[in-house]
Amino acid sequence: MTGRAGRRAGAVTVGLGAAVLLAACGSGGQGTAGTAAPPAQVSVPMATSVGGSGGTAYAVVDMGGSAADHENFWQLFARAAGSAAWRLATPAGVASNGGVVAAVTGASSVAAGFRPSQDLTFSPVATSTDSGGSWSAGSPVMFGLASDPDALAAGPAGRLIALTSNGTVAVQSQSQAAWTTLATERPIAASPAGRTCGLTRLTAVAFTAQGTPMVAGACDRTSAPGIFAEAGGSWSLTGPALPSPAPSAVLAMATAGSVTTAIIRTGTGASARLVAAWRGAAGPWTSSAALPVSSGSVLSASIWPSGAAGLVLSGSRAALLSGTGASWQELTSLPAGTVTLAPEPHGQAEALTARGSSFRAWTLNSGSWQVVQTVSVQIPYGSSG
Amino acid sequence: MNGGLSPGNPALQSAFRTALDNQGILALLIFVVIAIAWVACRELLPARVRVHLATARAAASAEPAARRLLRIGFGALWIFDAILQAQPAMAAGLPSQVVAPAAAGAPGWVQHLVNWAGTGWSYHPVQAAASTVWIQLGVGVWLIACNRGPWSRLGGVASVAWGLVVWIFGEAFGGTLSPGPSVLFGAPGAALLYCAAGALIALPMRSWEGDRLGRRVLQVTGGCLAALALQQAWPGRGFWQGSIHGRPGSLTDMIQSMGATQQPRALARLVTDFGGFVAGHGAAVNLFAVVVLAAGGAALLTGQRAIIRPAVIGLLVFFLADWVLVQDLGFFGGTGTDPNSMVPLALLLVAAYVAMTKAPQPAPAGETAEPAAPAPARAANLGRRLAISLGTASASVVVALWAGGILVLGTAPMAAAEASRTADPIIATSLNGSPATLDSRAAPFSLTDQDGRQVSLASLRGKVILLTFLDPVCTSDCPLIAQEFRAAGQLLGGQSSHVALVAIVANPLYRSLAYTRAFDRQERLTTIPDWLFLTGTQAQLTQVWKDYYVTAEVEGAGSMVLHPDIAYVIDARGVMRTELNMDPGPGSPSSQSSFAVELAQAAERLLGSS
Repeated sequence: MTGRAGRRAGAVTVGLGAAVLLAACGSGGQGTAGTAAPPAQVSVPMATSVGGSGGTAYAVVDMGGSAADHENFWQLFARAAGSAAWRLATPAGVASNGGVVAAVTGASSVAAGFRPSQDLTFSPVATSTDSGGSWSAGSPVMFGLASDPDALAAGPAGRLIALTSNGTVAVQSQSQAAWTTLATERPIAASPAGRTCGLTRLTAVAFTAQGTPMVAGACDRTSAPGIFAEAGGSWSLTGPALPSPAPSAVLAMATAGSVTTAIIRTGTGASARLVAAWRGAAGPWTSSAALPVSSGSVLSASIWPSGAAGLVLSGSRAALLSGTGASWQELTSLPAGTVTLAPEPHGQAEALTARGSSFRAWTLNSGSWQVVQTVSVQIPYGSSG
Repeated sequence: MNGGLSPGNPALQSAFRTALDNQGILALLIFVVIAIAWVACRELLPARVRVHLATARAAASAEPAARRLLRIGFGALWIFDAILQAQPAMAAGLPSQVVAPAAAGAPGWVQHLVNWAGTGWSYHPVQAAASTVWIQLGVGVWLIACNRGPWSRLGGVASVAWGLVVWIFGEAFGGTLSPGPSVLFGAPGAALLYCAAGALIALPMRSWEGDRLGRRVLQVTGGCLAALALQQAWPGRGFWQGSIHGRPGSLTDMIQSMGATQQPRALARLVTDFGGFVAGHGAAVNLFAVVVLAAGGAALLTGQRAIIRPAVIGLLVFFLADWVLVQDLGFFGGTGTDPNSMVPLALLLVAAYVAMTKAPQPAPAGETAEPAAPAPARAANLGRRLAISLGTASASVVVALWAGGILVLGTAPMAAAEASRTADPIIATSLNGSPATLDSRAAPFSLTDQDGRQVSLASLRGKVILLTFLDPVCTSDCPLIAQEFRAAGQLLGGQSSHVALVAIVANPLYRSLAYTRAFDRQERLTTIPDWLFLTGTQAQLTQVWKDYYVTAEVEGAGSMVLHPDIAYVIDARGVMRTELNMDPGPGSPSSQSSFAVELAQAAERLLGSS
């Protein structure tokens, strides 16, 4: 090979080498993601319904358009005791794009907390003494309510307890004019009770019928579900024994009247079960039989007075509990777009759908769902831009 | 909230045009001054020196044809790019419509780097856009005017320097670090080719002697084309599919998006038709492109004239076809910054071929250099030495001097603007119009501040008041406006003790101290000494709203309270002097800073006049 030819060959080699190098640049390589098992469901969407002991019911649903564009507007509907009709009762004066959490504070009184959205970082609170007919401003929750349907709850005399997005548990003063921090998630998790269950996240707050603060959450150990009661500044586990040991998450917890009800998901994947647990004013916890849900998810969990509950499950399924100690009653073929269930005045359950500006209530009649009411809401598109 | 600063914003376009006009007059003045000085200095030279210079220049060897082609070609491209940069939409449109899309999909550090530059531009859009015009014009004029000597090589260095700036910050490394770069779309970036041309122009003149330089450039080009062919052939990037599950493949998508650009109808139809063809024959089109690039690259790598000549012709035809049918000439749409990569690539290719085939023979040492003037006898002082230097300079050097002046004209205002940490108030004006002048006594009020103290307008007498109306539970505009007030207070510095930053609650429902305090904590206003967030009873607030032409409409169904975003500037005597529309627009750092500057300047004007 002559020197000239050698140089040429060298140039060709360098050029081709550069070619391969350059060609490799910018290749959109696919990462090899691990195939971890899906995590257990530790919370449910915000759509829910609550019922007052006097018969008033409230439903919280998401309406309007895209949440990404702040064109979704959460609405609060109220159905007065003895009435069969829902009416729009969303408190005015605050953007509801982040979500609304309702807490029944009395026979015809209710509080509504607004989750933060966009640049708002705290949660305004509104209170009503006429079942949502008129509202006045309550004291705001700093840090913002957590994204859980039971992040706000009321105790005796309407005193509120709140779970915030940073894991703080705050309670209102007796005058209800200010909030004080009762606890935060980390110390509860680090407490002996928290370590026993392996608390990973708080998901709900409530008061017992006697006014004792309670928190609930997800646990990665199998010893007990994460339901804690506060006494003298310390927290103790106070949940029921689970039918079979497994990691658990309290999806909903509320006290209505004298009964505290919790909906607990135990296990993961194909072995996932739902268990309802009840605690009376003084008695021990009792629990329902386990409802297999396999890999399905809970789309809405609602707790009503006397230990009744209604769950919307994926696959257009639903599960109902008629009260303390009752067995699960399964429903199939919910109306398309059902976002939550609500207690029906005659002891049945209503399916509530919300799409765009239309809110509909459905009842089960002779085995088929029928619309009993349609409410058209004037969605304030563009007001949060 | 308004939609933000659009590229078509008339106020910004007008300011950009005015800046270009003013700087254009300055550029002309610089030219006239240099020209007069040059003529005058020439007259100072003895006649024998002038004759010697003329003779020496006539005898100097001619510039190699390949270098001349590169210099004039890329000089013309820079000037064309400068004209494109002068399009009205550039000031507001370049960061969002050119820079951000170029960086999309690039690694995080590239996006960070490009966003940093984009933020700098968006803080001073008029200065940045005008600077770019003048810098590119200066580089272009410099390259064209100066044909030999160190000044000409320096022009090449300027081309490399500015080309790198454009390649890194404007083209995000030409898309080479993004997934799926394609030579057909413009990879590795037109500006990188400008850099390559500048580097060649900056080489010593002796480098152009013989065919070695041309051959080397052709081989490097061949290697790059082979690499780009391999990239084009790489599977999984969508180049082989005209459409994928009913959606356009990469090449089809690119052509269709280019065809949708505003442009002459005939060209749009041509490009769109080709896009349709590619959608149906994606694999064939890509195969053709890969084969041409690979074969052309391999031919250039051989270094043999007989093979290179047809390869160059074939590649030029391919480049032209890609420029028209895929790149759609590159410069339409209002924010096109250059004719994309195929024209500079073709120029480089032809220049390299000419350098190889029509290389000048080695010249005697010193003959190619700029002829030196006879040493002036005893140049007495610096001024005289400079005058003699200017007088002996050639016309091309004088034009290069002017080009240097244009570069300074472009870079100086931008450098000065970048040194400021605040945005230009033109952004606020462009978003909401100019502040309105008022001259009416401010209505009295007596309300409660966030600490529970009574505050009246009379109690603030002696201070300039920046007054606005905020909803403490507002989710969008009010927090932004509060931050603009906070920033205005910081801009006022030592003068802030003479200014009161006052907000009055604009929500009839959520108006308690708990809410004003919550808002202050949220917006970190508790440490601002002159910040007052005032509230009162519904009756008190209703009266104040009425007095200050504010409405607070309570809408249902989860809507915020609707109220105007306005601010008043009240002088120390209690007279309303200015009304500003405070709609914060996109709430970007630049727009927030701009509003803060506007507020601070309004207060400073009153402080200065009191």
